[in-house]
Amino acid sequence: MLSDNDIRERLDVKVILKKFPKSGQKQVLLVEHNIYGKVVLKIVEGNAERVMREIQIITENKFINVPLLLEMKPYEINDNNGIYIFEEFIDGLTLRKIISLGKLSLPEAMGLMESILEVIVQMEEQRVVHRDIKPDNIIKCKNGEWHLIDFGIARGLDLSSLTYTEVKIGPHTPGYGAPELFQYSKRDIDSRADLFSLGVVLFEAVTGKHPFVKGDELDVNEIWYRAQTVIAENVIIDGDRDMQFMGLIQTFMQKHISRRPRNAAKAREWFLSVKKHIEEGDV
Amino acid sequence: MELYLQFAYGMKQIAIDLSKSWGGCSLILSPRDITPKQLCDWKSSFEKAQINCLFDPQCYYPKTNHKGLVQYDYWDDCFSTKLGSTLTFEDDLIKSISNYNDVVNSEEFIIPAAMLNYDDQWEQLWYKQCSKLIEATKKVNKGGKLILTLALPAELLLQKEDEIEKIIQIIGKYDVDGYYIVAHPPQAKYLVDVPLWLTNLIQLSAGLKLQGNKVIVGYGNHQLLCMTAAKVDAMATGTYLNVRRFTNKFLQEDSILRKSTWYYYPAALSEYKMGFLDAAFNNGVLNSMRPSNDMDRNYVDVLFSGAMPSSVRFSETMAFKHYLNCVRVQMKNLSKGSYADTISANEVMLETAMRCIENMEKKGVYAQARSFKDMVDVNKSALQRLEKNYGFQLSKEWNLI
Repeated sequence: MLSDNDIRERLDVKVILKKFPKSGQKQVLLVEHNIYGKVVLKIVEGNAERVMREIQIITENKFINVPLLLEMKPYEINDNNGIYIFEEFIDGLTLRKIISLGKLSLPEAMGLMESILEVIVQMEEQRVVHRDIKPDNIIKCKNGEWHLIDFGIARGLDLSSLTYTEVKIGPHTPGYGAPELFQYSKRDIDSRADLFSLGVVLFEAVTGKHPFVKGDELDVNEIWYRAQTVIAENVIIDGDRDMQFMGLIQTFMQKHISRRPRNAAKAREWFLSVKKHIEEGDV
Repeated sequence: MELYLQFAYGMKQIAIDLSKSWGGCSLILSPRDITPKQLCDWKSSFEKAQINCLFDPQCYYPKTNHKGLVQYDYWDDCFSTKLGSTLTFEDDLIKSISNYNDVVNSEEFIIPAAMLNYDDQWEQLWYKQCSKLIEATKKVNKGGKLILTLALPAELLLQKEDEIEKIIQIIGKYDVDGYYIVAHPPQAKYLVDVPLWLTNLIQLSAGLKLQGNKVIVGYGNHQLLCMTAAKVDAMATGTYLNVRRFTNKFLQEDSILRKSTWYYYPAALSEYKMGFLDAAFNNGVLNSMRPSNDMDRNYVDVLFSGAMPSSVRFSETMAFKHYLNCVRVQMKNLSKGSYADTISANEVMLETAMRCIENMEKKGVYAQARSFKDMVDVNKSALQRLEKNYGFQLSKEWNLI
């Protein structure tokens, strides 16, 4: 891994502001760059095919509400090689942090759903599935906009899979990943997997509770089992006329793909209908 | 939801009369009950009566030697269809069926399917068979809508809901315009008292509708009026029981047993024999069994003429016409402008049926084997599952599907 000195001298970084916990071959830092200012630096050691895929997905599709990619280059410093990426820094709080401070109100939650749905619709148009929508990957910036970050395990449906066909469990975060991700029926994976995760995120945001994970699970198998079998309770949210918003969340969280909206565009259409119903009282 | 007539033995005139009375209707023709010559000869009569014909090739049991079916040239004379005998059997089969579709000017092409036994190979075999037949049909189709038969064995519809969702997911990838669902009821029951069977059937229909398909449920009866809640396009039913529910009688000669004439009391969703109508007469409650004005086409006037029902000539033909007309009106009454209203209408109908059945029983009037009493809860249960799993989606898509 590159030393702090290497980062400063060879990557044009003025100050390292923060280091996030290292994950596998990937190191993420918040830095002050001499040209870009405050940015996120991602350093990946070795042959990082998945990261290259992430970059390919983000650079080929300019998604709104997704951090911009500012620079990406391979490096070979001393005996280390890999790639580094400078990415726009979204200054704000993660949804995880926000939830820890309290539940989201209905208008806030509807704003969150609308923003992330827009991203999912854009991804769907480009045949991309994020596969890791969770509170840690959603940031509310200071102007109130919601952003989706970390395309580390995103999948371009028209690109070859990076996961061996024999692998039974696809990349995802247990508790947020749709059943088809961890059952890994590759042919069934599309934007409806992201809708499932968005449903889980929204449920957690408006109730303060995860719909499946209680926290006393002994291992990941139990979380998978619960995600496949536990039906989240219907919770009354202040202002949710006729429980339409909760109904939409529940529909996103359906275990069976065929019971979710048939695509993200349809999900957005239903969301707008729910929003109108709640705000204007229209059926 | 629209009522389609499911053709049965001796039903020609009934279909023509009803169509004239309704201003047109759709009829699913049955090669089991109509010869190729009759198909040609009757065509103009059907056209005059504004009957839109569909041709169900009835290849449910391809190795059968049913005397009606073997007259058609897609069955050969060694008591089987050409199924599996040549490399181009699907093409040959579909070409021949296409000719019969042309004879009756059908705008929709029903792609046949076999009623495969349910086992762990079912899904694989079914998928393979359907894919080949769809491809073969596309080669000969002249612009008509493609309707794929989904022949569902009872055991399949008794599996857990996951299996049904898997089928919906697979079916979504077929390039056809719609589905003709033929569901084998458990133990060939006329009215099915197994909630899971009906739940799976209604959820399968809803899933297919939400994918934008046309859905026709064949071999139905009044128990499937609940399909209105899944916005199914049509339910087909007919005169005798062998077309009001699917049976395996394609396997042998299908004799119609005429034991009794039944009167359909629409509000009770139940049918009564003459003996019990006499009991109703004697207890002074017969008139309460009369159909409401919107269903009354005078087919049953004779029963309510003031004489003992068993002493008047209430013909089987009139009983059939009455049944079919009532089911059609009930279907219309249940098909509302929103999902919520349709569910409410179904619930009210079921509650009313229960009350009517109980009222009659208090007066010693029993529907016996054709009582809907045990089915009320079955239908309610299916509607509850539909609401739970598909309610939101259907309410949002109601005017689009």
